[in-house]
Amino acid sequence: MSLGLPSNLAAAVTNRGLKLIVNSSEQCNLRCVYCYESFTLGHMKSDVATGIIRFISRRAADGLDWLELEFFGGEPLGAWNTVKYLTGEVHEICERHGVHLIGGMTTNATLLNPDRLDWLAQHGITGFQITLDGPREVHDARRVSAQKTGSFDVIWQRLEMMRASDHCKLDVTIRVHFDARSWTGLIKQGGLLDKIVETFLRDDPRFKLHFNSLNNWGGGSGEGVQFFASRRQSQPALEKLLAHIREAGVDPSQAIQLHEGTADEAGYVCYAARANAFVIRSDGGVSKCTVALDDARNLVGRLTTDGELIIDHEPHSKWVRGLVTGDASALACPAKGHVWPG
Amino acid sequence: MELASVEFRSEPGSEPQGQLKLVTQAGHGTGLSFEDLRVDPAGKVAVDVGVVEAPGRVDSDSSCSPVVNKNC
Repeated sequence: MSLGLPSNLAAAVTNRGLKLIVNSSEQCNLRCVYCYESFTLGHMKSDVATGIIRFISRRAADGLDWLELEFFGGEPLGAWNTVKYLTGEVHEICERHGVHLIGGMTTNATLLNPDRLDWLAQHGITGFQITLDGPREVHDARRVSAQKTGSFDVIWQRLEMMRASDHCKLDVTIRVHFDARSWTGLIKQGGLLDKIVETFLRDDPRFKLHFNSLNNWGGGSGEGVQFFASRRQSQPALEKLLAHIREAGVDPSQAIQLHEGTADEAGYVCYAARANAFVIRSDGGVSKCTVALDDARNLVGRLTTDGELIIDHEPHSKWVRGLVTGDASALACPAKGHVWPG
Repeated sequence: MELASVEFRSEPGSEPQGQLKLVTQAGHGTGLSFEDLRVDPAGKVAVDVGVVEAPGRVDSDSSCSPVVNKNC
């Protein structure tokens, strides 16, 4: 049947595609001062991983064209054996059935090493998002280990390791956080942004840059962080950051925000608003949003060991309501107006 | 969804001559129903929209949780 849906909505509904965000571990070796996670579930159980493989295997044999597989956490690499098992199996399944695998991982990178990078890249996990919170003194005050040590140097070394690798399909997004105070330090002459551009982005299209303002999601102490009161209030700072990298000659292909500007983009559909995208929690629960992890309204089903996805239609409908109403806000962030104020 | 409606009268107390309704964008709808979006145990939605081009790495522009959303 043809509903004449716009492509962004069709992609959010089609059974030809599937997006799974897999929380291989909901434990983390860092304790970022603003983190919203509670780390209560720990590493993924083996029967959940088995269920994921059975689920994907069945879908792959049933005409799936593409699979988006994103690892998230906690720190996903904290459960390396699970990541290795899942990526090895999924890669083989996709090869066998001709499914296009779009693999990625959100990681703090501290547990990444050359052997793991090789394995992941060779098994289709080529997209990485790795965050820096500012120059060393700022970053290390915010992104601390459980032992209260900083993480800037080790993350920087991991990025350099990726830069030196010969995996041509790597797609590394360096996510740079800023708050109402820290952003000015980023654009100093010879400051962190200049170093990132010169060390990673210059002459290497595998590296990209993305800015995110820190928002108070209700977790952590927030010590030392000056949150913006709203996303709108962060826009002038974001404009300055983008102007800085534009002047530094960063190609827009390496910073998507240079393309789209800072305004809300019409037509953007969050994964949580899609009917074919699910977060698989480490205990087998199924959620929609990776931010509201502890909110009961975000638990919409479970994955069985047999690989069946049991979705409770009523709570799931709240997340995908934008696909019915067409409401741009509900498509861009379905948590707003549902688990958060609209 | 209707947010508000205003009736026009030639003078206070007279019969309404017209009505203006303010509705949200949601009022337009997409043609999909909630039943279309029901998910079966295979993870498939009820409606079949046919062939759709695979996305690129769309989530690299994420902004809330690293995985994705640009709004939170």
